Amino acid sequence: MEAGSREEPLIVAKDIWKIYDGGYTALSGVDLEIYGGEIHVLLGENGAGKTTLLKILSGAIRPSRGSIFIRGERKIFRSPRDALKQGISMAYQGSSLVEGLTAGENISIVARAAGINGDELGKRVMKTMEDLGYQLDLRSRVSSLSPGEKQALEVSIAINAGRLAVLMDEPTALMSTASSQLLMKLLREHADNGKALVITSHKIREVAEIGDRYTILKRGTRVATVTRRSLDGGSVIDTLIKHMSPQGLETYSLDISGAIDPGEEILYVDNASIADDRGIEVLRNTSFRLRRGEILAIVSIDGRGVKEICEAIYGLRRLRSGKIYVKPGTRIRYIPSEVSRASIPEMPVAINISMRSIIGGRISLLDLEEIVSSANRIIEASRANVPSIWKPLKSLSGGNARRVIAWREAMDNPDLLIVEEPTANLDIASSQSIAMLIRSTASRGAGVLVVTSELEDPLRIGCKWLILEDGTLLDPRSSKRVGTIPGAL
Amino acid sequence: MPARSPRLVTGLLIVVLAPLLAISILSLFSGVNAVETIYWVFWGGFSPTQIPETMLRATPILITSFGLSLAYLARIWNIGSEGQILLGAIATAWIGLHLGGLGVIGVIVSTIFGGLCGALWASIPGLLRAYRGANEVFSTLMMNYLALYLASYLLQGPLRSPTSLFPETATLSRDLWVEPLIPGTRVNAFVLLSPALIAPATYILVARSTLGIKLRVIGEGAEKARYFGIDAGKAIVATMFLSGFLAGIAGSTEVLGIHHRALPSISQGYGYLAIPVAVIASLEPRLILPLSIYLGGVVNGVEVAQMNLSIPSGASYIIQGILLIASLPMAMRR
Repeated sequence: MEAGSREEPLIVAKDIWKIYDGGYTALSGVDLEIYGGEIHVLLGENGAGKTTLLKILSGAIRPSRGSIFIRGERKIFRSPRDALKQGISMAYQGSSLVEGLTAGENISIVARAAGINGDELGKRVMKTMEDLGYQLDLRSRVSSLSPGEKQALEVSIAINAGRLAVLMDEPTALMSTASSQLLMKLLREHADNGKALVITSHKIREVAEIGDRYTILKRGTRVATVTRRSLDGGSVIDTLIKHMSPQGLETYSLDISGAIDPGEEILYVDNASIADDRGIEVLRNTSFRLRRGEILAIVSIDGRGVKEICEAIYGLRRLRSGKIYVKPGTRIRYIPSEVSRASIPEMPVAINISMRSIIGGRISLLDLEEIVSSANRIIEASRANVPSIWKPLKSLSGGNARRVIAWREAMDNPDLLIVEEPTANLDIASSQSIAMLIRSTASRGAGVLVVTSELEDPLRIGCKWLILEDGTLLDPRSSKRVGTIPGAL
Repeated sequence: MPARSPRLVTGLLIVVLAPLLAISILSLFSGVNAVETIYWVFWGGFSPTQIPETMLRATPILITSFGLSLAYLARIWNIGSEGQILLGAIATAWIGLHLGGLGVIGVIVSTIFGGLCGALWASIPGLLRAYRGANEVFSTLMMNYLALYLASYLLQGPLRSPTSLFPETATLSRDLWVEPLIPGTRVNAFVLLSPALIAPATYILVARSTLGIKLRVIGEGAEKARYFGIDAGKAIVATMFLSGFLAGIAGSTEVLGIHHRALPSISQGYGYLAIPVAVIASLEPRLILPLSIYLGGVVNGVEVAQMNLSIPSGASYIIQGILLIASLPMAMRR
């Protein structure tokens, strides 16, 4: 079997930078070593740079700077075909298959690019599909396959087409739990045969059991690479948290809920199921409660369900089943992740700040005095940089606009405040002040529900948090499901 | 607060130039010198002796576009004003025939009744849009034809004057006539009051009131409306009701102030001409009066030109069509 030895890495990525055309820096100087025979798991929040890094290794995109070495020899990939020729294949997130062609035709395209026999590859792909629990007819059109079948096909082709290394970006996202488990077993077999397997996944429990090494990325840089053996019994989730937030849990843990009496219940989600726009359930038969003065964060590592849960509780989205109880007259305020969903960006900052009172009141002349004083009050409290309150909201930077809307909502005396992705688009200083805002809103007696994809948010805020994975809530310490029995929380 | 937008400039150019372009092309096809036609149109519309007639025609355009500009702020594309005007006019005439002798009270009651009928007619597509998702552009346009044939039935059947040769109602009792205030013209109280009331009202409501902002939020879509706690369905019906009410009033003023009875041709396309005016007014409300007068003058001028030159009699319809096609898609684009 051709594969690198344990001592010498098979693939080395050195000082990889990627700055996209818009100026967004996805990777800033990442190093990565991949050994033959290992399963290497890339971890990180949304936007950490996992997909970008994989795409650079597979030749799909070119790095702005940096180099890739295979067995010590520098290689430049101009396209995925170049990488395939070197024995590196990739299964893309979603699918890269040609919808209008049959499965067999798609396989022969890859075979030709990789310089291997098409019939041979077809047979092996069929075998792998079978191992994953799928029956594949090579004559069926890709467009007629289910999302799960497409992903299985994408993964099966990649596994068999890559002689040296197989890169997989969220390979199990659309697969059933059973198929995912079969895939993990299969990956181990291929690794044992000497191949390098690089995988990203948001399903922490799934990869916790499979990886040989874990590389944690954060905002385009490598935080750490740890081997499985060095974990000495601690859970991968704990390690992940420790590395993603170097200060650790303790520094942030500021128990605010003890400061005031645990208040009356303000929100009760009773056995609720919530679906996204495509009809996929993002929350399944789940219950939880929130009291006055309490902050609860729900963390969805892959970002799925964040918006939908917020919308459902605010009342913008229908539940698929179950009930959400709030006391009549409960004042709910909602800070969405995008400013545009809570404002008219073309209208002046001042009008947007007073929007709720303008709309809630009777038809009358605009009370300019009141509008100006509210605007000044909110801008002062939020310390947003607003050159003129009569300029359109969209003329502000994303962070400043977000501050204005966040403070508008939080300072409107809510009983229940819903915060979606509190630190989206914000720098560290702004993120800290949003955390303060959330804490002070809770200490004034509101219940605050934070729903986010950023693991660090609950740590920064210092609040109780749960992981949302596969539509269920998990306790981050015990990895046990919570809230599936009504009132369990 | 209203910002100068490229859309406003484009819209203005369309409203000002499209009628002239249409007239020029028509002249070309009719073998008439386009410059001569345009001269007659402007003379017929804007020479001092013609101003009273122009103001007369500007009045229903102004009243109707006031209601439409509010609907368009909310991005509710009522283009059924023509039908709403017609039914408002017939309703006014019908109730007016029962209110003879009541004088001013009769005038007020029949005006409001005409408005209500226009409003109810407009509420139908409003309800269909709000609760059945039917596109109001199609439904309001279709309802113009329903209104036309309904009017035709009423005026040839149950409401037809027994003494008239034409399909029209009987003439209202004299005390319900809103008489000309300026001797030698047809300029009545409606023509004088409308600009004085509506021009500032449009400005205040569109640019300076909480309603204007609420309507804009509705125009941002149901989701954003719901975020701010607005029941989008109710708001859509209310907005349609309001714009239909004003169109109905425009019909009333034609009956009470000018014709003193209802006839099928009572609206000279005012419901269509109000559309481009309202598109602009929702962007810059201060332009509602000048543009209403401009289009009133053009319609008046085209009639004068038709009397003097061999221009086809359908010229007005062509102008209405071109204005509609040019202005509405521009307004609807996000």
